Amino acid sequence: MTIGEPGAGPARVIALLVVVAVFAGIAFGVWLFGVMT
Amino acid sequence: MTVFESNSRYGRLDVAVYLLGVAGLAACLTLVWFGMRAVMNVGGFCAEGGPYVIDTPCPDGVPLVMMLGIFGLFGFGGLMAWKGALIGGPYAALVGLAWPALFLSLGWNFLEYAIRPPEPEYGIVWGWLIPGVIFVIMGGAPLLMLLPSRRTAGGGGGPPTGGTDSPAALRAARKRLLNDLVAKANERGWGAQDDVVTKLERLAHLRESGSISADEFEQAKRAVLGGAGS
Repeated sequence: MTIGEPGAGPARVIALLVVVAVFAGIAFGVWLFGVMT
Repeated sequence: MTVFESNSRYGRLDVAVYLLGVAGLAACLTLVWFGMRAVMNVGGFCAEGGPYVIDTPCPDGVPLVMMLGIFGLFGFGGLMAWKGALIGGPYAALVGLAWPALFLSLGWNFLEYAIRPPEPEYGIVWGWLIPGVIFVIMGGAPLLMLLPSRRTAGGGGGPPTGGTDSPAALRAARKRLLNDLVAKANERGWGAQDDVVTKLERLAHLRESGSISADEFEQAKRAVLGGAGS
């Protein structure tokens, strides 16, 4: 039985995706800078 | 067995847009960081266009990179704040980390170039050292204030380890208590000792005192009235 425990289920998945998005964004930024300059 | 699911006010599209905001913000921070270094490589100042004779032209593409990066910070930051508020928890506040990320990373550039300036400068460049220190303070001070509050915001999951009187710990304890209460009540079939009216009165009292939310009250009420509830 669960009553919205913090960090349970989707929230944990979103947290993981946020970390992935940060690194993907940085990689994209590095690539874009290389392309534009 | 009763399962109380958290209210899902957001869909996958909202999460996708939020993640786009996160990635875009990280990309813009990266662009600004590299753009600043490119400008510092040519002495810290450059110009393009205008009626004046230009002493130091900007490196190719850098003005556009800086413009994209700076405006993008606001655009993607706005996306994060918008969808983060919908998702709830710490996600809207996460955009606040862009401030220390920006100032600490740019402060690093200042400090690095102050200590190891490009030719023809040599020694320590005070004109870059001072803004470097200011940027590090501007980025680091809010981060130091933010970190302890983040820890108690309850975003980390798992049982709180310390600070038993923190809001997150109290919230978690309250939820555990309610879980146990419902579990025991379910096992006993609601009413071996107390009748339904007593249970409802007790729940109403908890609701009035603010110990449980309206949602939790409704869920618990359904459990009382319907036995194993939905």
